[in-house]
Amino acid sequence: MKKHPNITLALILLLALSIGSFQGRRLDRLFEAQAFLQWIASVGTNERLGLDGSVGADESEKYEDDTLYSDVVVATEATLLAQLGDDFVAEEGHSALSQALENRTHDAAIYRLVKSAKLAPLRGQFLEKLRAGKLEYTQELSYAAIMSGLEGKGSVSIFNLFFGFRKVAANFIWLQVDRYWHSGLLHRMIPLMKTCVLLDPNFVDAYLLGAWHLGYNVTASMDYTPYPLRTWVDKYQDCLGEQESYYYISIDFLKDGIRNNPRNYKLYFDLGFGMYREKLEDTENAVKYLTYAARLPHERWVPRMLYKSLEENGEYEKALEGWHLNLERFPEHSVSLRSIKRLKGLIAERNAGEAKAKAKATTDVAEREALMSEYRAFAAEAREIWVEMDEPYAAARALRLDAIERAEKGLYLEAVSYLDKGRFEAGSLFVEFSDLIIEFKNAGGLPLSLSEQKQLIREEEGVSCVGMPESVREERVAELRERRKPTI
Amino acid sequence: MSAAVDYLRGPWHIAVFTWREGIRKKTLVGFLLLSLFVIFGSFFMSSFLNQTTGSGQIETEIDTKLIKDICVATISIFGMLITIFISASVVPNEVENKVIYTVLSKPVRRMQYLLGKFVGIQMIVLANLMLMTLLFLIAIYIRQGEFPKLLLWSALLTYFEFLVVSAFTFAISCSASSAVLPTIGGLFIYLTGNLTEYLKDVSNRSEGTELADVTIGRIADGLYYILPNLQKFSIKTEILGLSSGAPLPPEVAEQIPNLIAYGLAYAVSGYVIAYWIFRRKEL
Repeated sequence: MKKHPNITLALILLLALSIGSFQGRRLDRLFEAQAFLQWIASVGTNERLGLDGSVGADESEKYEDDTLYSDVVVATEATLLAQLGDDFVAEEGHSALSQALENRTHDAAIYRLVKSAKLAPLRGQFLEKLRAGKLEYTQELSYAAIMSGLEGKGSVSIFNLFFGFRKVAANFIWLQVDRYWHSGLLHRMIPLMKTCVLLDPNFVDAYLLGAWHLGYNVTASMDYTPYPLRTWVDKYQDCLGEQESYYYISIDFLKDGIRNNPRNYKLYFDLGFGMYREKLEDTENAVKYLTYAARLPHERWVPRMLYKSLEENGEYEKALEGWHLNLERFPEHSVSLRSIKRLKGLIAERNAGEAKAKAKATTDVAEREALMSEYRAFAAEAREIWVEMDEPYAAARALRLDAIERAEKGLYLEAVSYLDKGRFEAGSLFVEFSDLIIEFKNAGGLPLSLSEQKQLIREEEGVSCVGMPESVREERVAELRERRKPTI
Repeated sequence: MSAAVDYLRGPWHIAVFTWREGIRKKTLVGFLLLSLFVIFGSFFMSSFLNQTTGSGQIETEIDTKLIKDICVATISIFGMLITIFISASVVPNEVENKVIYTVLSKPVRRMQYLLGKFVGIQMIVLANLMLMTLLFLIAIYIRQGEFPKLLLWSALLTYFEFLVVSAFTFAISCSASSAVLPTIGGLFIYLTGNLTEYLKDVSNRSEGTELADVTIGRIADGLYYILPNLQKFSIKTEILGLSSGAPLPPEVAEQIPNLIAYGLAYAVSGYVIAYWIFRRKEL
């Protein structure tokens, strides 16, 4: 040092810079592994939930996420299962990888695997495809993705323009979205909301409020589009009017949110409850997303809405089991107690209906008699539950049983009057009871009211829309026939 | 052991003196008060959000997010200004006031003097950062009702980002006779440190066969790996998005010690450059 101070200092400087450079490269590798992990989590969520892509069918061909993901699944399956141990059981139809990504429990094992030498070639392919813009499910402005070169060759990262303050920029954009909302400039909100989540893909409230604006507030001022005037959209396998288009934009927005934040129950809840159940009345999808919401850390109302949706989807036993669990956690919870009784009544009613249908189908007299006595026992059980419950819904269900009894005796006018009283007792049963009234009137040769005639026309028209494929139309006709199958 | 303690006693006294002098600087106090005012003010930012509907108030966590993001941005901006200002002014002011001649006439080596000054600067930077972070944590605690432990990692990474800028600004200040040039230099280091990624971009663009293209590409690539990249510390903002009770994800947990080592390596580089310049300075 004393003899050759400059050389010594130069060597120390060189050493420090080399360590810095080495650490920089090491960090780059870690960012690449993080970006790879984020992408796997997004595509894995996509696989587990069967989410539709966020792009149209024509654009989806240019992306290669699925091919690469399949390779990753094949490469990781055996090692992952060995690492996760015997307690881990993969659900049928899902890869172990996608299922292990569902919650944080297996994060460390997956991360070890993702950055392992075994996956190095696939990581290389991922980066190559990422830079070539061939991957769809990437958090476009996530730090790790950018550090791994998502912006590609010859472009400038927008990320750098904010000097790391892009989340603050996203917040200020959100303040503007809020201002537009209160000024009634709803159409201006949409591009800003998208910019907001582009800048901050983890801004969950932006996804939630944005989807709520799109699905509820924007559509509130729109007119209902009659079914024949709607247009068939392949991507959604549905006929869309003006309102429905926005429902699906909202759904896509939430699905993007789920891909970027796969472990936030709020997104699954809003998608399942807010959109599928409340807006599209699609109880099957509502159950699917609410189930995922309930598997993540959640608020207490999430499983309750799941049980409601299960009931609406006709899965009474599962709903009953759920309410029992809820009652164990919250003893004396009045809604659980009421729901358990209601479900027991509905199960008895369904069993009664099934027994009667079997009795009608059989030619064996003795068997028919046995089934009919089974039917009567179930019907009596249901009636007992409805009488015991003593509330408008239960009273209406009891009236339904009375109506069916009268109709079986050929007293259709009386049956219709019971149902008419029942549908005004409980609004939630209005549609079901109105359908039954039409059925009984037709069976008894009673004239249909104007609104009932219109209802039938609407149902006929509801099976097709502009551009609907013939196969889908046939399916819908069959569904309608099934719905109109006689109850008695 | 005692030789090392003796050797470090001098720098320690200089560091304490630098700290005492630094906290009296009106500009620094001004920056600090302004940052504390903004952090405190962020608490009221949510009043700009009028999240009401006909049926009442909407329950969201946007206001907490606003506080977190604004506070972290404020700490970064004002903390960086304080770091640059103090790192740029400590040595030139002593040269200007001629205090340095008195100090160096004592049995204090230039290395010890510089070490003392650098440690003193870090004490000031750390104290400011801790004060701002404390107020930030209090604001979040009042809002959420729980102590956001993960934010301490964010504050730690912010310090190492400051450390890199501080070391290189300090190096420039050792060659200057006034604080103006090093302050501008420090701001330039901060800006370019955040734009190092462009060098990668230049390297990617120059894939032609022309010799000039290839040469420029290689130089850019080399510079990309040699120069500090402050964007690497942006992981601190990702930590903000994690829920308070959750553990650090393994990928983030692994990056933290590596980022600390990265920051330290460049801080040492900056300090060595500073000493190299200072030892040849005519005083």
